[in-house]
Amino acid sequence: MFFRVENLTKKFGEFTAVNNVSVSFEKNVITAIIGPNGAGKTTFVNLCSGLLKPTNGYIFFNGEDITNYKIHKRASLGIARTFQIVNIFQGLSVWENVKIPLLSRKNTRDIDNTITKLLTFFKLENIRYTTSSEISHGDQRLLEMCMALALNPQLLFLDEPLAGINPQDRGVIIERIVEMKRSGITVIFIEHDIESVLKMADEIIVMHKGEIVAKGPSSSIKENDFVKEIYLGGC
Amino acid sequence: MEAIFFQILVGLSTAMLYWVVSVGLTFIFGVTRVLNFAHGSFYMLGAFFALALFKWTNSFVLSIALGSLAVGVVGLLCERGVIRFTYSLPVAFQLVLTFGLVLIFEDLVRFIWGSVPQMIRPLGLGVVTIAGRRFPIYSFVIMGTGLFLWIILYFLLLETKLGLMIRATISDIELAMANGINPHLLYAFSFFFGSFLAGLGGALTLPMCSASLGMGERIIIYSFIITVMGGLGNIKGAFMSSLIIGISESLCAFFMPSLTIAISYVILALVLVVKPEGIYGEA
Ligand SMILES: Nc1ncnc2c1ncn2[C@@H]1O[C@H](COP(=O)(O)OP(=O)(O)O)[C@@H](O)[C@H]1O
Ligand SMILES: [Mg+2]
Repeated sequence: MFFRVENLTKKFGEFTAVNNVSVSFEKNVITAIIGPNGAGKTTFVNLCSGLLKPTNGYIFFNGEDITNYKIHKRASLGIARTFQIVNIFQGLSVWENVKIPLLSRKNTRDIDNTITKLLTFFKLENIRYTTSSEISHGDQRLLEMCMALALNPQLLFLDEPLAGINPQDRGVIIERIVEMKRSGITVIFIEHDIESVLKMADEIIVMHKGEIVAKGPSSSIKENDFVKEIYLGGC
Repeated sequence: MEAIFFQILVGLSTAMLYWVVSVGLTFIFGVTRVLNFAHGSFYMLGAFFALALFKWTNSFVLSIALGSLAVGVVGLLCERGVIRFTYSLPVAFQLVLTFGLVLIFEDLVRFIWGSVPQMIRPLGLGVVTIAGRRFPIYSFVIMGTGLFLWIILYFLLLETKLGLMIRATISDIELAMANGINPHLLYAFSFFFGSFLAGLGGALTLPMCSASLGMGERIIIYSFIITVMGGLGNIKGAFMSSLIIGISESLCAFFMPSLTIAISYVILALVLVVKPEGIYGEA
């Protein structure tokens, strides 16, 4: 199995944010994680990417137990992520931002070419020398994905990649995400906007109160009564 | 007018010495978020190491270079040996630990070199007459070292891969890790380099004053003032603050001698009232 978690639990004090979750992900499938605010989606991704240590449970990547690996170790194995709130190096230029994830890769002989290619893919090449805090929010989202892609990941987590993006600007980001899947990257993303979810996801996981309450192909999840009640209908 | 010029020159030399030492503290804090009390001890060690090496090799340049490199290694050993275990603990642990190191080094130096201040024989570089007063040529050596360090740091940080990794880590450690940067390499490097600079500062003072047990205490206070005033972890800020503190101290010594001791604190307080995060600090 490509990526698998087993009995994954995260407690913050008395509060259980992720409760005994076991789930596996196939290679080259785009999975969306949906669920109401506070369901534990971000915490789940934080556990998978190594930002948080689980209270209990195991995480396997390509058959390897990575539960105790730090985030940079997981990154070097091919697990990358973006954050719910845009997370880029604000004081550095767009170019430098993309260079940083490339620094720790072994084969960096033509680092400049790789950066140019990545920036072109995300249509950021014209603003490459701009300080990243000064570019638009949409471009910052793209830059963040660009950095994650620079890690050459096999598995990419995106925490609400469309948050704060105008509906008319969402198309570019959605397009890039689908394109990433085509190039062989397995994408797991959190998203609220159900219309966008259906455009991208092959599979949908529904989280509620720290647990996975439904999982299946996008088409069938849409019709799930429980999902309609707690999520789709609710908001 | 001439007196002002002369005092500024004197102040520049002091400022550059402060800069060499405090940028080390700033650098370590910027990368590791540890406020290293033992930085003053490394300064003291630099002086004693260079003193011992000078007696042995009779070459001042060699003893400064080797002495400060040795202090860098001591800093590295402290980091790998004990300090690294406190990164994920509350900040109080780091303060207590590095303060413990201060006591250990104090006793170690007393044990090895005794508590009598020691000097090296004069270098005999001589003086020049500036504005009718005698100015030691050695002060130019210190100024040159400070400027050279500025250039080196600029090159290191802006032009090298290591520098970009360091800037990324200073800017956002978690994000740097998510981007595959192993912070422990940088932690180790920053302690080596920062301690090296403290040692270099201590060694550089040898021709002007004696190596003594208490010498670390005064400098650590100045380093803290400069580091806080410039904006914690900000290297450009450390440079500016060193200049401000060094020069105003020197002017004060001439025009209002009774205020000399207080002036650094007054300036720090003023800066923090206007900009609590420091000159180049981020709110
Ligand atoms: N670091 C933390 N400390 C304490 N509670 C937290 C922490 N992170 C998240 N939580 C709590 O865990 C729950 C799940 O949060 P989160 O995973 O961010 O939900 P979602 O992303 O689904 O909106 C929330 O109730 C939140 O308040
Ligand atoms: Mg969330």
